[in-house]
Amino acid sequence: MNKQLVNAMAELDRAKVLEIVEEEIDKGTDPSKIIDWLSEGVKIVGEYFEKKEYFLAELITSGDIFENAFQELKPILEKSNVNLQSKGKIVIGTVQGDVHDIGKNIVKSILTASGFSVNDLGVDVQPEKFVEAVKNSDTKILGLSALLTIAIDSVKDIIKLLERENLRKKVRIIIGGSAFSEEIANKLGVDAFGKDPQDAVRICQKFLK
Amino acid sequence: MPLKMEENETMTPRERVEAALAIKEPDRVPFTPAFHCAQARLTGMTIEEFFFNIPKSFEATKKVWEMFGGFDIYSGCSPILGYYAPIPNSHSQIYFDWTLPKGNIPEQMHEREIMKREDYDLVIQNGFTPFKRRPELQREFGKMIVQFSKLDTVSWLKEMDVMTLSEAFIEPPVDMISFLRSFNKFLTDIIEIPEKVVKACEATEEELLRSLDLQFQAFRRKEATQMCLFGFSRIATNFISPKKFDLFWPHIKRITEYILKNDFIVQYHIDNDYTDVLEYFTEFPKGKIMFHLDLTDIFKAKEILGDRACLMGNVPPQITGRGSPKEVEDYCKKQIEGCMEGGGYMLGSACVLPDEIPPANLKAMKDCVMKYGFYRK
Repeated sequence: MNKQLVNAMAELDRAKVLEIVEEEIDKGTDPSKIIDWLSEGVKIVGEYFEKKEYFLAELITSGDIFENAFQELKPILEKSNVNLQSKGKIVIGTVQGDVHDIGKNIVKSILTASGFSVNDLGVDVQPEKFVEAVKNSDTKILGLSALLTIAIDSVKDIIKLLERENLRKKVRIIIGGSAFSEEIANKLGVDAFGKDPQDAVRICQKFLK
Repeated sequence: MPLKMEENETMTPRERVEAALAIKEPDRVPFTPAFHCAQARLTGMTIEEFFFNIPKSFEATKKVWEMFGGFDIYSGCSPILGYYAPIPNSHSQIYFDWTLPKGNIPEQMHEREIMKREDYDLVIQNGFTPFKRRPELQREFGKMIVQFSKLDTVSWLKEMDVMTLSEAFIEPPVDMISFLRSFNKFLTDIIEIPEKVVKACEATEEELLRSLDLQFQAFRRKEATQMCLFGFSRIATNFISPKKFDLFWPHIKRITEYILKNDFIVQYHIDNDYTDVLEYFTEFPKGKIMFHLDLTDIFKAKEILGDRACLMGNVPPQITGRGSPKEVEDYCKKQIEGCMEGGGYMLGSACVLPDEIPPANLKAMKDCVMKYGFYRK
């Protein structure tokens, strides 16, 4: 493991991260290994966040640096045909009636940096689209985001439709965003409420154990 | 029609709110919900109709007051004006990309990176003017002002002796920059180039203060208690550390002092959570600042600021919009009992009431102040 890279990521030192990534590329290191080290750094950022030493700003910056480094590695990954080992697949989107995507994008970024493959359906997504995505993939998690409380009804519609298609048991549903709360999650009958991006990652990891 | 006084009530809504703002005990806890478009559903119209039809929105608002026996503060009718306002603020379509209401879907911002990281120098040099994307909307603003001025709001409120929630507003430079940069990019800037962000805030502060001057000139009334909404949402301590918040405190302080100098009470409309930085506000004089809280812990705020600042808010939309009347009552009762002592407290919603609030829940809030909110003299 390149501890320097892990530490640079944990310290949010973008220039150093990119410099080490470049060095590792030049050395011919397996790109999937480099990604693992980056993810290890992101994991430390998450731990600092939980200890309240880091805040959302640091969490987002780590996701952004990861994305930056990933873009550097992308051409090599494509060339070398390396299949990244995904920790699991997640379908995510902002529900119908709501176009807010900040929260969703943060969660997507942190999940990606933590090794998940995320299928982002975008914003104002119709219930049918969520159901179709669940039906046509081997995803085990469905992440629903909303800021407007009126969008809670869209979650109800998605659940109804999943039940009608006999798909409800296929996926665990996690909701997040200002529209929701633990109580609303219980009332809706979803599997979890993610109170922040790090919480969402933890819940998704638990779902896949 | 003046509002009918209930048994045990000895004050008009204005007197009640003024006492609470001065950190004195009124006859009872004022009930001061901030409406967005909830009046629409409560009177059977769509949010779209309420938003665009100014006279109808005022009629609907008056009807809601009749339905619920009035409130202790007036928070307005259609919120359309802010979306055409020619002053730099996050709601203005002149600067930002908004979709206005359609049917019962409210207005929503499409937040994107309007200002790039390399544009900080442009802001430092030229302020927010280069980011006016639709300046032609200023004409619409003028037309709307005329429509609003035709409503009989002033006489209606005078008759009932009710104050307006806010008569001027401002956002700190950092919020404007944050919305122009977009949330994630802005937070990354705070970590990676904090000095640049602060410099841009310093460079644009004056521009925002001049926008306040225009409002003070237009709306100041002699010998009236008036509030200026000072709203921020992006430097909350669930987003950034208190140490980073400290970078932006000088601007908040200077703007606060400017509002106070102009004889308006500062109403901090602070969205998200500021519990960890409440101590900062203890330096302002008693009765001159008040807080409309969203996620900030109101009980903690009472402990830290209760001797100088009136508090309201923190009743979440998940409870008022989606809870049962019993849940609403339980939540509000706990808050009233924990915050009413010594005055300086009003029952209100976190930010605005959810548009879909069921009538029974709004009634439960009002019933709660009538049941638990009287001060024993």
